[in-house]
Amino acid sequence: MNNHQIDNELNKLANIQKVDVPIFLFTRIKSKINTQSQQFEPTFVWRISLALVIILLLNAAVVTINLNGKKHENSLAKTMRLTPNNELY
Amino acid sequence: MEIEKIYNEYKNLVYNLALQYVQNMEDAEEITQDVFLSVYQSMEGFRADAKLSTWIYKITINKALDLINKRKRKKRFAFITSLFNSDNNEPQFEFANFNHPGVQLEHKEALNNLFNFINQLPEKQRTALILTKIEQKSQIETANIMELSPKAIESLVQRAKVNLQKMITNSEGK
Repeated sequence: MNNHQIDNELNKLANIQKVDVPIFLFTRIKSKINTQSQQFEPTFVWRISLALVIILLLNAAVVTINLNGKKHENSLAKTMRLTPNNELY
Repeated sequence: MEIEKIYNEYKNLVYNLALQYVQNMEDAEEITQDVFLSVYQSMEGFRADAKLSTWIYKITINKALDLINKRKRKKRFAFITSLFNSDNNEPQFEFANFNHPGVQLEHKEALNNLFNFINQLPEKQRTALILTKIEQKSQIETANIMELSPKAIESLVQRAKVNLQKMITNSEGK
């Protein structure tokens, strides 16, 4: 098949005629639009809730780690018979 | 601009372009609905300096390619599940038959064959070919829609022709 033949093949595409849209289509689109606008938009609210939950979890994790660290420090000081504060006398 | 006005102005453009991608009325209707829903949702974000028709062309192309890819994924999944379930004799998912209302009966067979090859082209080559050869858009208009240079469009169309040539020659040899 040469260039001329492929051009001839592609010229067949010019036989495609334009057609009209089915008349009921806009009614369907309109009902979809109405359903969407009536629906509660969850994405924004969900994003904020998720962010808050993550912040709370991070806070909880930091507090827990701090408490555990302090406990560990105290037990270490006890074992080594050190005072766990800066008061020397 | 209200959605109804936009719909009345561009409905035929969207529907006909969708038909060139999927070649059946049901899928073209689905794409048209998706396009206008998308237009309605992002009307506020539309830049007034951009041409509305170019924007709608872009949305239609993206929606059509999305639907085609979704169908291909479904088909692939059905194929994989059929490998594990050889007793299953249920019919597998197939693309809808060639049912292009813009094609007259006497051209149906020839165009069905041609579209079988066009559908195998890479997305960009297919889009360039559809816009230039079916929608009769100029290279500059096609370049604007596809956000490429006119030279790139020329090269895409050329590569599409070469690929089609190969596919048709191979099919004739079989």
